[in-house]
Amino acid sequence: MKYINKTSGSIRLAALLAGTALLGLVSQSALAAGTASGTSITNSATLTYSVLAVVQPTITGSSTAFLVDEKINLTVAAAATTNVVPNDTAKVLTYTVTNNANSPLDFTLSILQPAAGDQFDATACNAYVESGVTPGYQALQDTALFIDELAADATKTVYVVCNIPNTVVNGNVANIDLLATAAGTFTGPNGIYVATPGVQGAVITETVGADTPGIVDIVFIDPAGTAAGDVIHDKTHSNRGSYSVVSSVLTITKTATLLCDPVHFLVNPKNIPGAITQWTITISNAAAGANATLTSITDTLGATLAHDANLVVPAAAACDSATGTPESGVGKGFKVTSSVSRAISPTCTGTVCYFTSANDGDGLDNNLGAITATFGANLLLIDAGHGATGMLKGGESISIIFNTTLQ
Amino acid sequence: MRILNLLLTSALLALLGCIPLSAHAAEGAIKVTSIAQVEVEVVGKDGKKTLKRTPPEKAVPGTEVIYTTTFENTINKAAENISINNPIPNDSEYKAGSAFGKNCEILFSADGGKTFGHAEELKIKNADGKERVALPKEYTHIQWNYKTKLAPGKSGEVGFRAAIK
Repeated sequence: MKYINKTSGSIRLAALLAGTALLGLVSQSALAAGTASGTSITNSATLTYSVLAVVQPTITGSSTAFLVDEKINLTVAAAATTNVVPNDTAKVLTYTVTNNANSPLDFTLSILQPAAGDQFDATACNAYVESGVTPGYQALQDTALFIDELAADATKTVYVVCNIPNTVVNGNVANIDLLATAAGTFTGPNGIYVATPGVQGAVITETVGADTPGIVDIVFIDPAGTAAGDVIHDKTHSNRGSYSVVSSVLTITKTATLLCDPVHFLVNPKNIPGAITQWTITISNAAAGANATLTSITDTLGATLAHDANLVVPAAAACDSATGTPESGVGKGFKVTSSVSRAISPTCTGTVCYFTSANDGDGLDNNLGAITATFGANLLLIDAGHGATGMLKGGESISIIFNTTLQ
Repeated sequence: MRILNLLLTSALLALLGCIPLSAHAAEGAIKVTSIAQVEVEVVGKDGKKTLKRTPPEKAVPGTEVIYTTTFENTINKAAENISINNPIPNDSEYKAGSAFGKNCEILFSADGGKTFGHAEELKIKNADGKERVALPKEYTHIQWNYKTKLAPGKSGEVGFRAAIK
C-alpha cells in the first residue's frame, strides 16, 4: 500500500473521480472481511473562498491515495464430538473453515493429534473438503484435499476421517486438531491475489521490513489455535474435535431355578430325575452404553436335560412337562421378556412374548438340544424405539426363559 | 483617427470589463494539500511508547487513517469565506468526533454532500420511512467553514479520521 501524492489540478480531479467510480464498482459490497485488498482509497478536498468579496474559482487540493493491504485471517471451528466404538472405520469429525481475509484464498489442511491430554490416537486420518454435491461426508464425492478458491467471508466444511483402534475402551477420547493454512498466489497487478482454480496456491509470505510502494502488503492477523505450535499471526488456525469411545457394554447372565421334583413337588424340590428347572438367560446393555445389535445366542443343553416343550407351571401335586399346565400354550416352550415394551415378535408387542419349541425358525428354536435365539425379522423387530432388528439400547435388557427336565 | 482611438479604447475597456483584475486571484492562489497517515506505536530508547504518524503502511480493513488537509494563502491579499469540502474517502467510515480544524465551524453531510449540518441535524430515513439521526459512519462529507480571513502567507489545517471498511 503505498501512498501517492498528486498535485492539484482540475484534470487530475476528473481522472480521480473516474477512478473512484470504478473502484466503487469493485468494492461496493460491505463484507465483514473488509474492503478487498488492492482497492485504492483516495482522498481529496475542495476549497472555495473569496477575495475582496469576490468569489474565486474552486480549488481542488492535491489528493492522496493508497492501496488496501491483504489481511490473512481465517477461523477453523470444530463440530460436536463423534462417538465411536472399538475398531470403527471411517469415522467422521466435522469442521468448518472460514476465510476472514479480504481476498479469496486457498487453504491447505493438516491433522495433528496432541501428544497428551487424551487416551488414544486415531489411525489413518485424512481431511477432505465437502464437495457440495451431497451434504454430509460422502467418500466418493468429498475427495478434495485442500480448499480451493474460498471467497472472502465464505465457509467450507471439512471432514476428518479416521479409523479407531480395537484396543480402546469406553470413555477413551482422541483429540484431533485440524489445521488450515492460507495459501495463494499474489502476483496480480500491484501484488493482488490471482485465482488458480484447481491448483493449490503458493505459500504466502508476510511482508516484512520496508514498505514496497504501490504493492499490496500482506499482513497476518490470524489468532492462535488449539494445535501445538499454532501461534498468532502464522497464517494458520486450528480447532479441536474429538472421538469419544461409547461402546455398548453387554452382560449376559444365566440363572437356574429348580421349580419342582416328582416327589416333593414345590416344597424343597431336589435335583432328582423328573425335576423341572427354569433357566433365564439375560442380556443387558449398560445404561451409558451405545446401541448394540444382537445377532444370535446359543445355549446347548447338557445330555441329561430335556427341553420342556410346554413351559409348564408346576402345581402342588404335578411336576411333569407332558401333563402340567403350560404357561402360555401347548408347544410354546420359550418365553422372552423385555425391560421395555417393544415389538418382540411379528405377532407380539409388549414385555412378555412366547415362542414355539419347534425348530421352525421363529426366532427361538430347539434343534436337538441346541437352543438358539436368532435376532432379526422374528425376534426384536424394528419399532418406534428401535431402528434396527436386534437393537438393544443402553439401559435395556431382554431375557430368554425356558424349562428343562432332568432325565 | 479619433474615431479609431475611441473604438480601440472601447474594445479594450470591454475586454478589461470581462476580467476583474482587482479581485480575481490566479488558480491555486490557495495551496491545498491532503495527506493520509496512520499512527504506529514506537518504543523509544527509554522504553516509552509514543505514537508516530507514518504513511499508511499495512492498511488492512479496520485500520484508522488520519486525513489532513493544509491550506495556505499564497497571494498578497487576504482570503475570506474559506470553505473546505472533503468527501469521506471510498471504502471508509468516518470516526465519530475525529474532525478537527482550528477556527472552523465543522459541518457534516449524510446525503452525498447535498446538505450540511451539525451532527444532530443530519437525518436519514430508515427502510420503513421513519427519520432518525444519521450515524457518524453514515456521513458522506465534511465541511469546514473558516471563521476569519486568512492573511497572506498564513495557513490552516483541518482533518479527520476514517477507518477502512
